[in-house]
Amino acid sequence: MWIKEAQELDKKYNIFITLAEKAEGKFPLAVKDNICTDGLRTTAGSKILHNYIPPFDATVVQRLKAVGAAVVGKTAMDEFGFGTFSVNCAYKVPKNPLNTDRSCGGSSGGSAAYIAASKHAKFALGQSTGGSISCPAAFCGVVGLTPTYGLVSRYGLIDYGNSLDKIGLLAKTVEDAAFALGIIAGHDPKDSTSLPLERRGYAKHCIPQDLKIGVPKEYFESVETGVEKAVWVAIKKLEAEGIEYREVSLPSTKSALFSYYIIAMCEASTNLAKYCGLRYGLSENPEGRSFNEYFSSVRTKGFGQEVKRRILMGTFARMAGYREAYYLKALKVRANVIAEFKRVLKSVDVLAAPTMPMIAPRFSEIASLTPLQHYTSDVLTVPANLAGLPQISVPCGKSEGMPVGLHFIGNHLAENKIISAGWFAEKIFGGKHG
Amino acid sequence: MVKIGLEVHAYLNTHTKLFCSCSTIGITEAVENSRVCPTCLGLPGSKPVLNSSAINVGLKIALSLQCKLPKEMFFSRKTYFYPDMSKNYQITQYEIPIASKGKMESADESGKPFSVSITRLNLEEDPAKIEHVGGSITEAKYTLLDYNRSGLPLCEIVTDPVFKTPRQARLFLQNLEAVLRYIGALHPLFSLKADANISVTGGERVEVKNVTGYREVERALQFEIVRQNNLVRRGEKVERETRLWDAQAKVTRTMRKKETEEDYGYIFDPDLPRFSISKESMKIISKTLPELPREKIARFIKSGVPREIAKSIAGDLQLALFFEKLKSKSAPRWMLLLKKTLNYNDILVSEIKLSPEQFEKLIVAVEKGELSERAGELILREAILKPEKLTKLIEDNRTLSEKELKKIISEVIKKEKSAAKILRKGNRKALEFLVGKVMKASDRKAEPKNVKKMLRKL
Repeated sequence: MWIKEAQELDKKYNIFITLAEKAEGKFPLAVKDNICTDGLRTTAGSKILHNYIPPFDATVVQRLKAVGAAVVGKTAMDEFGFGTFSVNCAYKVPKNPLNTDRSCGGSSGGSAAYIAASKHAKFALGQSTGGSISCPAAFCGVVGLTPTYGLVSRYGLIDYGNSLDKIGLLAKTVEDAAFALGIIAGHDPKDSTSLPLERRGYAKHCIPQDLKIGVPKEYFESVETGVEKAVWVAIKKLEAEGIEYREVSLPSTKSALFSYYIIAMCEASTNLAKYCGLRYGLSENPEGRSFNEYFSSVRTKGFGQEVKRRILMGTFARMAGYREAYYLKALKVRANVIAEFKRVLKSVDVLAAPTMPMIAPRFSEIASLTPLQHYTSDVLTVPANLAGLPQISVPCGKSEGMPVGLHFIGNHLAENKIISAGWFAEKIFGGKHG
Repeated sequence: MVKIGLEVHAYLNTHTKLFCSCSTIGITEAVENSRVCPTCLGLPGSKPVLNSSAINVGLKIALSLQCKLPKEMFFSRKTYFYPDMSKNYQITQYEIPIASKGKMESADESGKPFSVSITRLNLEEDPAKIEHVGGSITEAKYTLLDYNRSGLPLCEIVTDPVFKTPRQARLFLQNLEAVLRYIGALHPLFSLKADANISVTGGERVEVKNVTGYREVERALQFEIVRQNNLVRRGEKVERETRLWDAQAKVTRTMRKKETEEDYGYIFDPDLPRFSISKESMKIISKTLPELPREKIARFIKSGVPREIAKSIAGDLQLALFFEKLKSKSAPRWMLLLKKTLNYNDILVSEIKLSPEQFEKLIVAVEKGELSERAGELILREAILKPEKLTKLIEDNRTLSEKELKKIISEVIKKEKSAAKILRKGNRKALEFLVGKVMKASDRKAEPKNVKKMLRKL
């Protein structure tokens, strides 16, 4: 039944890169294709891993299977997570179930589309480096929960930017997301960056809390009018329900974007070095070629254009002579961004802002964007991701008939507060999407 | 002037690899690619987890080499493409290594103590073992990879360019290995591997790689000195480059020229958090260390061994351990003789067959006057590798008793009447001459001092 639905949805919306043959368990689970599943092909959306079948489950998959998850398939994504609209795809491009001319956002686009369209699934696994959970959640009108960096184990996640990568959830409701977080969160000795915290429940935070909200003024600077309006209406509605807000300022928002892309690309360019056709993935006959020629040939064929661009830029930014000016400087900027968030989050409990500066764009619009325009569309989600802060995106209204996401950002490990805020907002705005 | 610095790689004595739990016990005998897991194979999604016992072993080395420790340390990624790399980046230490600025007591070829400055120690993972079948990497028919090696914990020990001769470098390596084994830091199945940097006055620094064995290090460096000096003499340039030692042909060959430093694009490894070492854990580690060479020197001096001799003995740990088993008063002086004999025969302390107990027997025989000093020294040379001969050698070389000596002297004097005559008038030349005759007649078993004394009394 779950597989059949998945197949049907895949036909309509190009949701899956790989579908499971059977799915038996207590609930269906779609997994972003950069999260390893034992015995089920995992490509991270790249041709270079077109035939890669992991010999182990990611910790999150293992924990969900232990409570009855049945993996239905591996969802479509930008190659290695490098994108905002799930169009940098080596396989098929997923479509937004609310309007198939439009993007479902990225890079966890397939998982968001699946949750938007499925009648059976309550949550799916996504992953965010710079906003890859919140963005597709906003575009597809579902809930996206990105936990604090280190709360959920990255073991089994195919790395993009290891200091930024966070596994999280796309869900029908805030409560579904909070429930699933309780299963996947908690210390894992296999991931050295996993925080030493015991597993505990998060659904219990789906209650009203007395929260002070901060609205960062910089987060409205390049936002579409329709989105801006919808978000302000939502904030006013919350105010009417007794949740007060005040304006705050996060001046390093723009520099956060540059810092993020430099760090993410530097880390990515080293992570992707291992894909060279030697032990797994794409390979060809090495006869008559030196190892350098062979590696170059496999990598030229296996990687898409955006991947090559990021490897080149990331390699450049860490080269001797540039390392100081780019990589090391980006790390300093990151420290400033974190300090700035920490300072502001002393006076307010959570920040509220539009998740994305636009509604889900049409594919035709995306085609005309330059790489730089692609990158700058992440400006609202990137700072919190750079700082490793937890975020939740909940649908808060519509613009041009497409959903708009309201983004709550909390302090490190303040999942309780963003869950409470998200849950309350969801109640006020009328629950599930649609 | 010659300047030599060493980059030594030591396989650490841990039960598991540096970033995964694959066993390292008996690793060289294990079936190829049987000690592997997703992490040391570099599979997508795998993550490194630091083996804390590798840190502890690294800290033991740091303490033994009197290094400075950083407040906080971390690992970096050194990125380059090579078929033996599981991730095409190596997890190593770059900006802040586990320890720096240390020193180790060693000794030069004449037995004089000298202190070797250590630049830094860093921990890193070993790549896979690579075997090109049918030639070099460019000519090979195919290449075999054994990932059992991938991820073994290595400690790189870098010295300042303090060595002035190849022999000094070799002695240091022997000594360092002894210290590392003694503190239990070195994997029992491996020796040290060393690359060397060498420059002569008027030339650039040259790196020599691919040298196995300390004797070979010495040979490769000797070759380089000749090669580089010849270039300088002819007015040619000694270029900055990396050369490989060809042990068969006994020459070094160009591997790659370096106009500039290679660019590895180091970044901090984001999979491994920064960490610091607490004072408490340092205390615990220092308690597990045995008495170190520098502590031995202090103790030897306190027990009456002359300072220079104490340093010279403890500059070679094996020698110090040997010495500690001796009780005789003249043992320190005999240790110098032993050292001289070792150098003369080009053998290591570990290769000595003579036990400390047997050595003691020899020393006692000399102390008691049963053997002449000279005879003792000659016996040592022979017995050092053939201790079974010791008893007979002592017996055969025993100093003559007074009675036996008197008899020989009277026989010599009977023969050499004219010399004896002048001798009685106090002629020194005649004395020398007769001593020589008596020595010869006694088959060199007489002590020349005693012979002189007795001849004077005539």
